[in-house]
Amino acid sequence: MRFPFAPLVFGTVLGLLGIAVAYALPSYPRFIFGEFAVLVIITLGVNLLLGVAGLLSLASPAFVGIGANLSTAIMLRAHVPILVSIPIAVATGWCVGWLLGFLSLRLAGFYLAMVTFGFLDVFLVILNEGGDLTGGGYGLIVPPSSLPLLGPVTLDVTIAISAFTAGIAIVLVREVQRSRIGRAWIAIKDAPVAAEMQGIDVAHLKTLAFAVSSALATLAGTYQALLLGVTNPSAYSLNVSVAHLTYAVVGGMSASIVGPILGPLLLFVVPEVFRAIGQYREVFYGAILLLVLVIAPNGIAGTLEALTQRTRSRP
Amino acid sequence: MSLLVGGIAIGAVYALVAIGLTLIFRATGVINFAQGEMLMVGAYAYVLLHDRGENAVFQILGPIAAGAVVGLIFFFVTRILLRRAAEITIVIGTLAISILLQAAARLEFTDNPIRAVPWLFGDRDVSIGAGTTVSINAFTVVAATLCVFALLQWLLGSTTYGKAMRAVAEDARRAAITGIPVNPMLALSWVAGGVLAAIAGVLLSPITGVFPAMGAGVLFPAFIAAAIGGFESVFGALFGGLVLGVIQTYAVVGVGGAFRDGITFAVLVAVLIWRPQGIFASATLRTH
Repeated sequence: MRFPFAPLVFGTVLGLLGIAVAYALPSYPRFIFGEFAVLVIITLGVNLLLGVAGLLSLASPAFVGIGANLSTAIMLRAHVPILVSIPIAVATGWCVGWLLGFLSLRLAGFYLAMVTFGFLDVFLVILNEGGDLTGGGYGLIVPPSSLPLLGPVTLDVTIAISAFTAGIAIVLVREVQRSRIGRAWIAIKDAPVAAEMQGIDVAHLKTLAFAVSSALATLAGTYQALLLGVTNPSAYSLNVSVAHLTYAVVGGMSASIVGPILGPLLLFVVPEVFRAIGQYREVFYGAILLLVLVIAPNGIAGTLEALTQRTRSRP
Repeated sequence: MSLLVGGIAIGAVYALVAIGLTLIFRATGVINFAQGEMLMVGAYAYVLLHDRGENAVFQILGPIAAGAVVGLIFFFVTRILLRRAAEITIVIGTLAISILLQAAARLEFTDNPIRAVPWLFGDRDVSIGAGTTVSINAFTVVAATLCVFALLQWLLGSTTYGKAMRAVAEDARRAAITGIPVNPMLALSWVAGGVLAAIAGVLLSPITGVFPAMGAGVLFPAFIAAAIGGFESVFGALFGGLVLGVIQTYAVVGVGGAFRDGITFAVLVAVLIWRPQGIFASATLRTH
């Protein structure tokens, strides 16, 4: 028998560990760690959609943008506390994601990628043309806010919250992926016809995958706005969506939870550490990406799995 | 009237990129996300040769050679280096090369657009009656695209190489059994895609200027043009590109440039709802 609250305890411990790491770091690496935590949350969602449910979407930055802009706009316009604005944004992200998933049910593979890409493009047009509501090409400046108990939301508080949430999200997503729903997603990816014959409601589960993944990206977006202090539209471009995809693919696109952590670590943190190379950073990023793809075509998690299986099967 | 010509000209560029996408997808099952970067390489090759004062033949042969080389690089990476990888991994691989190419161009030439003079006829306007004039480049673009299309149809339809390429695209294993060398044919498909994109780059460079991200902006319309052809029909891609170019141009005038991408997206959704398999494709659901 499993202890029913084990995942929650595990998640809390992981989250506290994240906070501890954040506080052990000096100020600039701490900021990078905060961004890394946000990316882990996003990658969990992207990996859930692509790696677990097998749906290729390019719209993830749109949801990050929805999270950042909506929570900021609500705080600016309605003067509500951050504890209200973030849940509203996440709920909206869930609904929009559900809708996008619903509209895309007829599409498979690259057609889905194109439609979601178009969605992102239209979202960017709205952001750039939204006038005062979205701040146009510059974006909105995030107003100061405060939380009960924690006081004003400073950069350090935001980083701590991001790290804690990333820890919780890792464990929760792992639980979802191991549940009936998660196994049904894998079934839909691997054998859609067989899944349907087993009585799995394919349409419902596909839209659900979109909704969960979008909600995660939206949540990450609200944190990202707090981290960066602005909601500049360039943070949600196609390049960003490609980056999110590469995190998931390099991580391993499987139900393993190691992938969504290693992907951003290798492709975001490592180039960040070698920031001194300056203008060659992009080249470095492309080279790491290509190298990982060639060495580990199934992603890092896939290669790790293959290695452990090989050692296990030895007599 | 000059709007229509301009729309057809930009549409012709989309069409060339879309035909390249279609050829590569049909042969290898890979959607090449770096088709725009192939275009960019062709455009830079053209501008450099033009500014060195080479003659018109070299100006076009240089970019074609550059496109062919880039095509070969893509063949090498996707077919040799990533031969055991899943489809999505290969697609991300094309993305990785596109990032590298763009980054390299940025290091070498910076982000500032380089102005380019149209190929062959230079900066000249021609009158098309009723007092309206159009840049002669628009006609060069359309004529070049139609020539390339006709040449391609002939190559694919009537030559042994073309037939072999189509056979490999249809069923690589059975093609191999009949003695067709599969890998060289796939390489040829990549080269063809690269050359088409490079020509598109030469033709596009006077319109937008030459800069590292120039190809990325063409990719989405080209995708849609290819989708209209169902990623299967070369003629469909040509048709899709031209129609999309015209629609976009009129939309920009009608509702403003900011909404161009929105209109493009609307066209895509309309096509996908009407015929998800593409207008010119046979009625089988594509699940690639």
